[in-house]
Amino acid sequence: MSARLNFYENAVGGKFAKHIDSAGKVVSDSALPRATQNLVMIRASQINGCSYCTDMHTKDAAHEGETSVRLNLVAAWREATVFTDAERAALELTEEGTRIADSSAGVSHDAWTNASKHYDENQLAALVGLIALINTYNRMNVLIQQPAGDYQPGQWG
Amino acid sequence: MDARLNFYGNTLGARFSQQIHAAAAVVVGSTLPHTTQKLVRIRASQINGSSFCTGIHFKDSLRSGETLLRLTLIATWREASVFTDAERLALELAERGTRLGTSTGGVSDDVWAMARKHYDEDELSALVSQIALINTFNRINVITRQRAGNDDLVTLHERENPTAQAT
Repeated sequence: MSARLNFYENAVGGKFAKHIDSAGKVVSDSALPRATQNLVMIRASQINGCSYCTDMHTKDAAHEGETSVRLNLVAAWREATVFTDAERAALELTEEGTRIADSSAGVSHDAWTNASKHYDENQLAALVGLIALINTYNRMNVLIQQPAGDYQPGQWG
Repeated sequence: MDARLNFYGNTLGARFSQQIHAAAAVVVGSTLPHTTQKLVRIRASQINGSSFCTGIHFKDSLRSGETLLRLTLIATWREASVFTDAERLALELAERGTRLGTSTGGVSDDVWAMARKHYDEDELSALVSQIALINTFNRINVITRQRAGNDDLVTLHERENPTAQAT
């Protein structure tokens, strides 16, 4: 199984990806907790059916100390007792912010208000940027059918 | 009706925005026809319900000479006769690449094979990039409820040419 396009080796795709990675660094260097960032990236990638991203971010989270119980329950977090209120707010925003094509109502007032209770302006900006960005990576990898399963934490430096 | 968060005015938001605009410049500088890039931006923005993005790219397209008829028919392009085969494939990819959550995911082998006939590797990479990127901008603007009134929709052209009159 191989990708249907050499996107990352292509001159255009490679340069594009570099700038997307730089945008990612702005978020990863932010005050949004790293554990939360991982949960957001995993949940969006699951919804979008992106194998590569799901593999990478689940492995990264585990490598950084995330528990298997929490990782197993990201896909069904609503009745789970293992996430903090702040994490739940981030996951709600992630789901609504990912599924914008499915709903004519955008992201609900409640989801936003709830997130604002737990995150300051900079963290909210990071959360918005992160949700937007993981959706970008998901699309790059789903469109080219990037094969998944071999990712090793730290391989991208 | 103000935006929920002044994303672009926030330091982090501004730095983030700088990087995704640099990514956009890579697409603009590619050999993928600009007309096609704009059709993709508008279609994805419509699907994602982004007023700001739909508005700004509609205005930019008009300014670049796109016809009102074609712009009107983007939302229902399948039975329209006004798009080239290459443009129709770009629009199909844009729809499939945007609606990941609901569909079986991505683009079928048949559609991809047809796209490869019309677009070389550079153009296809640019197309994948464009589809991914308009979805980035759509989300920032939808999540923060970025306003889309006439004053808000300063076109990209006007932003780059400050002496130009806003229309």
